[in-house]
Amino acid sequence: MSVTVSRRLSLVLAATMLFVGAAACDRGGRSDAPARARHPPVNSERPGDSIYDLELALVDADGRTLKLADLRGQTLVAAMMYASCTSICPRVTEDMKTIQQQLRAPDRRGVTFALFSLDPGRDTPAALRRFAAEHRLDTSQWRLFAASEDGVRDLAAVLGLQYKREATGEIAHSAMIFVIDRNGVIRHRQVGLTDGNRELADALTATRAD
Amino acid sequence: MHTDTRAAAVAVALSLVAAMATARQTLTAAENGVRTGMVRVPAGSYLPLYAVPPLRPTAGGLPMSVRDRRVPVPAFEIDVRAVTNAEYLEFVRVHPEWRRSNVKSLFADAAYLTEWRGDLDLGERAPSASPVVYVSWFAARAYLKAQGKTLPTVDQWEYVAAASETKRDASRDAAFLEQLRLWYGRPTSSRLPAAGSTIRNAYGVRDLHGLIWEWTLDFNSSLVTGESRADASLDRRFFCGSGAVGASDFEDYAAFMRYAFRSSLEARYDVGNLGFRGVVVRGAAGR
Repeated sequence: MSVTVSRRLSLVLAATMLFVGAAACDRGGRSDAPARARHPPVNSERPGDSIYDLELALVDADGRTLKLADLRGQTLVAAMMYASCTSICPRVTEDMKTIQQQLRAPDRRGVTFALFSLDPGRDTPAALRRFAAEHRLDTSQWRLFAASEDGVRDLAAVLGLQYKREATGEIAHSAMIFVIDRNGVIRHRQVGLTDGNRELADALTATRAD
Repeated sequence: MHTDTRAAAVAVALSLVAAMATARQTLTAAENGVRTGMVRVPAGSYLPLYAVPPLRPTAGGLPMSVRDRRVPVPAFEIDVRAVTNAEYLEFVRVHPEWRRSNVKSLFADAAYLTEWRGDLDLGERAPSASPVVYVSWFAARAYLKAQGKTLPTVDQWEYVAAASETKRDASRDAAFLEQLRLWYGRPTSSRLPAAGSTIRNAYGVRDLHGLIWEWTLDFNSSLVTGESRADASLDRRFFCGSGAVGASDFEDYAAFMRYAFRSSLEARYDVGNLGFRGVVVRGAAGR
């Protein structure tokens, strides 16, 4: 996470400076100021940054409607995916299953594995149920959700996930797994596929212990 | 007394006439299908800097031609100029949750509206006619939603911004690209000029280059290619010579800068020189 954040921050600075660079050399007017004023949010997960501040209507795989904030109180291991995805989503899902299997039974209590669909058009509750069945997800601990197109945009923005719907119908997106505490604060972001989930598992343990 | 009554009656009559005239104007605007302050941009296509997926093999095993990589853009309407401080002030008056002291940190970082003097006070660093900057993506979206508009997509923005003063597609026009390079490197004054005060392009849209950067709806889409696992290759794609191989136009330095800038943003960032304008897509309003 810190790698991503600092890389992206340095990009903001680089880009800002490129744009206003000449101005900064000029007389240090407004142009210089924005670059400096830019950085307070190095770490976007400050206390109080709860994803439950987002008004987001969801529908789950059983067709029940709920609000994102209804998930408050549980520790989430979450990812965004879509059911017809053949490349990255199955890998992310398998990664999450591994995390689940590595948890000892008592540690699983209060942990929900949540998948949020990036594909509001096609991911109906039935499609989500099929996905859960194909991947043999233990539905006592896994929940799958769909939202509107607007809702997906908001959630991806809150999580810091990049995605793009292609003309082919595929949705290219970052491979990310999030650990979110019971108050909705993102405690860990795993970016990309890794062989082990050590850091994430540690973050999950710490989050549960809080 | 009597005269007063008559004067009042005249005033009422006049205001009625005025109201009817306004109503008629609104109707005319509605008939044309374009709102005041917006222009209609006809459907077309443009060549994105990064056609995704780059160089996808065709059935014959050959890479896509440049022509295949053009992206169709349906017609839309776009604000002639960016949203101003005065307009944004009206919004926060009505929506207290978007005032500086109330905004949730999930939706805007600490720099939100930093140049304003107070919650409802612009002050001299934020002239009323200048574009509002230091606004997050969430804030821009909330403002536009209240107007029945939405942010332009990267495709819409790049498509309309490819126009010079005279040509709708000036993306291959060396003089235009040179002008962009000059604009991008030009010093900004300590206070932003008024929205609408710079170049008007062939569609009638102003200030797309050289005044501020602008939020796009899918600013967070430029990091990924068709290959999700290449996610971490941002630096390579944007900043290394070899990375430029995937780009469709090596001349368009300004476009490289815009793509790099967008992909460095997060939705809660509030950046000086970053503002926004709205679009309306028929049949998809309020997206």
